[in-house]
Amino acid sequence: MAEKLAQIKEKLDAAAGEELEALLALYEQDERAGARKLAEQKRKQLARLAAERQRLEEMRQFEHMYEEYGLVCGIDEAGRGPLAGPVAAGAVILPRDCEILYLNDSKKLSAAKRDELYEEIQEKAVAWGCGIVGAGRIDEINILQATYEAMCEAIGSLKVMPDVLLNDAVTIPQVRIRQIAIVKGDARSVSIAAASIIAKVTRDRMMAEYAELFPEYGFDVHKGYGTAAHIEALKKYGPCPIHRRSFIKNFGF
Amino acid sequence: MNKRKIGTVYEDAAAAFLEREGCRILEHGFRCRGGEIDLIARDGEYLVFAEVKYRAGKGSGSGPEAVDMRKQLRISKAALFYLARCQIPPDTPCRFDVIAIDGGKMRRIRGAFPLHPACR
Repeated sequence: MAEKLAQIKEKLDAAAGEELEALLALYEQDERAGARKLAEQKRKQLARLAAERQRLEEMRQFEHMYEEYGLVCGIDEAGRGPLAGPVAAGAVILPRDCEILYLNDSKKLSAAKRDELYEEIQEKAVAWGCGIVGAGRIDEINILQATYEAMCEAIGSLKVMPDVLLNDAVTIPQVRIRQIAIVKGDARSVSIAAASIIAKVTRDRMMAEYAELFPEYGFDVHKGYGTAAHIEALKKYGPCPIHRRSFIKNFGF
Repeated sequence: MNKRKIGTVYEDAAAAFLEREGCRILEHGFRCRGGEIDLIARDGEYLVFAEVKYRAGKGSGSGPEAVDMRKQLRISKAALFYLARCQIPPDTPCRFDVIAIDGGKMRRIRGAFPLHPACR
């Protein structure tokens, strides 16, 4: 009769649905505190999962709203603010009711979690694309126009064309597709969140490569943003080819 | 795991619950021609015939404690058969309890229903 706790844990982890409910009811009545604890932990885990699914469902409200138009694509950008490196844009079309747990605005995730999600998004997406516009072009046409260009490039690299774009509070002038600008879209739409992760991870990986090319600046650490260490290095070594001249003017370069 | 097995797991859970409440389990899944009883237990001076009702998740509809008249009749018949077969002294007080399991909550309704009128 006396099952080992490890066996109980295994059984609980293997079970699902009605069967799991029944086992939980059983072990909650177990005379051993250890078994009751396992059941309690499993119940908490279930509650957390349910809450996560609920959060994701709320993040699909705009997708549901526009799904009747056809394929819905999220668009977002990374790297508008830094003093160096390119601006990157992501475009992601997710399948209807696609579940990617813990998918969220890239700014709210750890680098490790973003890397994981980056893979999962590419696996599950109907289509995904990324656009990159470099510092030279940013200086030439300004950051806003460069961001639009990167977004167009991202859309152009999708293997199927979307019918609706969900944007994070911008409207891309060059695009004919219907666009919906959502304020704080990266935290309110799964597609925009996915696009933000594609953009962020792609850009961060590029910055890590630039860090090897120009090791003086620490691009792998601050990704080109204007941290104290970065500005210090700029003062000491002057700008390198990936610095945005139009941005560092203000710092006297 | 099929429905039958799931039911058995819930019966085991209810049995463990009754034991923690100080009952002694006499029978598990007692069945005869007239009907069946999930658990038979001794609770102090009382002999308890318990029906285990469970509802997983948050389905709507009647509460898990609802036992319909047909079921009450089958339980009553089986109880009388058990009393006769085990020659339980006629002065032993008996009771029909329902153990209601709903998500993480387990409740016991003592004397949930009386002996079915057709058996009196």
